[in-house]
Amino acid sequence: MHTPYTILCVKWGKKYDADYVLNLKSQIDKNFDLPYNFYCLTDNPETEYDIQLPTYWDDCYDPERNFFWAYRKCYMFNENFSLKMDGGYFLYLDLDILIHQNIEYFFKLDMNKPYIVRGWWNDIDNCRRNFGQVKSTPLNSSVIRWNRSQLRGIWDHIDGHKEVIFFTYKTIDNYLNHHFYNVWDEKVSFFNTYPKGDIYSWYKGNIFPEDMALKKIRSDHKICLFNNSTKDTYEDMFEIEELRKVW
Amino acid sequence: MVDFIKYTPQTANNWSRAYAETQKERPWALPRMIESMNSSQVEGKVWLGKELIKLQVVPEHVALLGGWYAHYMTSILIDNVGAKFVTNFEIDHDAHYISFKYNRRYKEKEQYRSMRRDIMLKSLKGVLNLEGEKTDEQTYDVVVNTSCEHMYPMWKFREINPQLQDSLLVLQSTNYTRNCPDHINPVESEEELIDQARLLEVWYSGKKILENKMTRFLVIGK
Repeated sequence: MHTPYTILCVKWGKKYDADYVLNLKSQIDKNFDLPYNFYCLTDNPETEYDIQLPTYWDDCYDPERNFFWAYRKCYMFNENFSLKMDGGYFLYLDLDILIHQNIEYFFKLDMNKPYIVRGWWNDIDNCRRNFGQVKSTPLNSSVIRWNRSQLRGIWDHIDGHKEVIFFTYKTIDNYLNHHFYNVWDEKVSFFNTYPKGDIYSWYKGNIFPEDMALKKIRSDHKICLFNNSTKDTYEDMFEIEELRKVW
Repeated sequence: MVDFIKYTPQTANNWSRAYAETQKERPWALPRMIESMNSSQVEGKVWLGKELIKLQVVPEHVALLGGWYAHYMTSILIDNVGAKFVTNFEIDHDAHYISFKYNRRYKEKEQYRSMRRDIMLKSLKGVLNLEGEKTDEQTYDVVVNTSCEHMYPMWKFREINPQLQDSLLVLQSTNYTRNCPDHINPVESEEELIDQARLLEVWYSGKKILENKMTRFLVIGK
């Protein structure tokens, strides 16, 4: 069965186990009615939907510094790395998210530009002030929507400058903010961002400054992000008391 | 000798307007502006100017890499060292505009310009020269980078800019990292800074503990 809709996630290392992938897939099944391709890009393929992650950027990563640590996510920007990867309309989802509503919405967006999360919970003045210091990015790469080959330029840019990029940027979000977003004028950015009210953060809030309550379920939004992987004190999202009823 | 910055009425006019206009147009940038004006910033740049004068270096055209607001450095390079022109390459949109405000007097005399560019990812080849033409030729006889700790080692800049192989490099860095996550490339000594830039001729190297207790290293060479 061929379908243009492709939803994918990325899993490497031991931080997240296969339950996270199953949970994500089950949430998608509940919240998406069209046929879709599902792939998990992983360093340890085990199931039919797993695709082996490439390793060609591994040498650029220094585990001691841990800069650009989520670089494996960027492999997907070149969909041709795997012949198995089918489809034309791509939606990437982090493993640690909670889907509240039907995600067909993401496939109905006007795709003259790809989409990424702008964390509306960030104070944009702070992001502008800290731009030169390579911190306080307003972008969050937990949910990315693009059409085939739309992000190939990013893959090329990383591949062409990998030693500098892996050395300079702590996170891929900081990198994307510097090179593919304009924090002073979003209209001229490479990326579009999802509007307010679509995606919020469990640990950071929703919209600065008016709706910043943390650890609050907002079911009228489409997706809640946990971004557990960057937290010092890791919390298993399946064990969070307030969320037990939603799984 | 350079012991101080020449704070003329024109300087006062430019700097006070830079402050007032930034407060109005880009208020988020004010805390960074204040940081940029501390005593150690002056000390570090005055030291650099002194050493250039001792070496009798009078630049025709300085490429100032990651020059931030470039207020102290441009003033010292033009008024004290005698540089004819300074081009600041800066990634930060705000810093780019604010630097024009601080350096309005030089810009009006066609001695200063600022360009947004990530100098570690993009060569200076093809940047417009002072005649407004795109050129791959050697345009900058002196390259100044007082913020090497913020970026990839300078050998990369040299690699992607072979046309600047005869330019004099004037580099500063530090070993200081505490509360400075943006110091992604600290060095432990002036020798390490020399190695990072792969300098073959060293005209000057030294270190200085600044008023903020930060040790800064300065190397000059090719």
